[in-house]
Amino acid sequence: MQAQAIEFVSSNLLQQMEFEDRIEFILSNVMESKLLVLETEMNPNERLYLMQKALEKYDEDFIGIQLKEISIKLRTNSLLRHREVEASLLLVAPGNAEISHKDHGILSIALHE
Amino acid sequence: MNNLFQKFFQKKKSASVCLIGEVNTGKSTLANRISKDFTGKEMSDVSPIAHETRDLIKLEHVDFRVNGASLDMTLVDTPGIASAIDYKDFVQAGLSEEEAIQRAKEATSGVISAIKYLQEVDVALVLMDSTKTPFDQVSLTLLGTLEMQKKKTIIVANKADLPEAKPEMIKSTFPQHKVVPISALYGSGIDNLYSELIEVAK
Repeated sequence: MQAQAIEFVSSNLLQQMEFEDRIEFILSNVMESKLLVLETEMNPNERLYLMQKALEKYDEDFIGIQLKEISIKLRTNSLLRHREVEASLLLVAPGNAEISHKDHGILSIALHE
Repeated sequence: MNNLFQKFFQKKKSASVCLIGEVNTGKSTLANRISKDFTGKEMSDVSPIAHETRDLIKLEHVDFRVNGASLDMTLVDTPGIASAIDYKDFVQAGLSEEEAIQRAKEATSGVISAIKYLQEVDVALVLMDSTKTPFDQVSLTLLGTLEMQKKKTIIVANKADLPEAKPEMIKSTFPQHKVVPISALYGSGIDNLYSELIEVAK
């Protein structure tokens, strides 16, 4: 299953959904071979539940998911001072994706057949 | 007086001890070592092909006696946790496509059972491969979940006998946890693990 698109999903959209609906939304999109970048954090319990639900949908075309939490630093400028805020993104990819860190701060996502 | 009476007739403390972790970290090798040390027989099959353990394997009433303390232990070996299982990996390991698909389905079902079983665990032994960097999402997610559920946890840094092993990296990554380097295969560090386990299970 080759990923067909990368989609960035806003925290606003995700917060409008109940937890179970959010899980279903994520998985239905990843099952359509999309690579999702979520503007949200999930705690470990929620991530494990997402993994469990993904495996419950297992078949020969959908082999699970790959997860990667990405921390980013956002800088805001105002007249008086600069502020730096840490934020997290959650990458959810189809199970055939190989996510690895390369040198020089590069996150590589390779998609296998 | 009542307390004294209760203490005198108190049953031996019992606890379920679950071996959990990524695929091929040596969970079944360790389960066999513990089982053999305290019951005289092995409990799990071991194979170089991933996902040999595809269901929970429980050994009940293991009389775990260490340093004068004892525990009525239910030892639980679990399938390796993974967020994705590709049957093609098993084909590459030499299985036929039919066998590989069947193994992948069974492995998936086993992982789901293992995740669900975490809630019932008293003590979790989280196995990590000391020869690998400890930053994979599966281990981080597992440890985070155990912390959130306030489960008693020991990280077992396995394969410490290998020249490329770096158990100190696991220690520095998870300073909030007890980390015990061992070789489940050769038994080095195992007495230290038993001492930590009986202490944690109290």
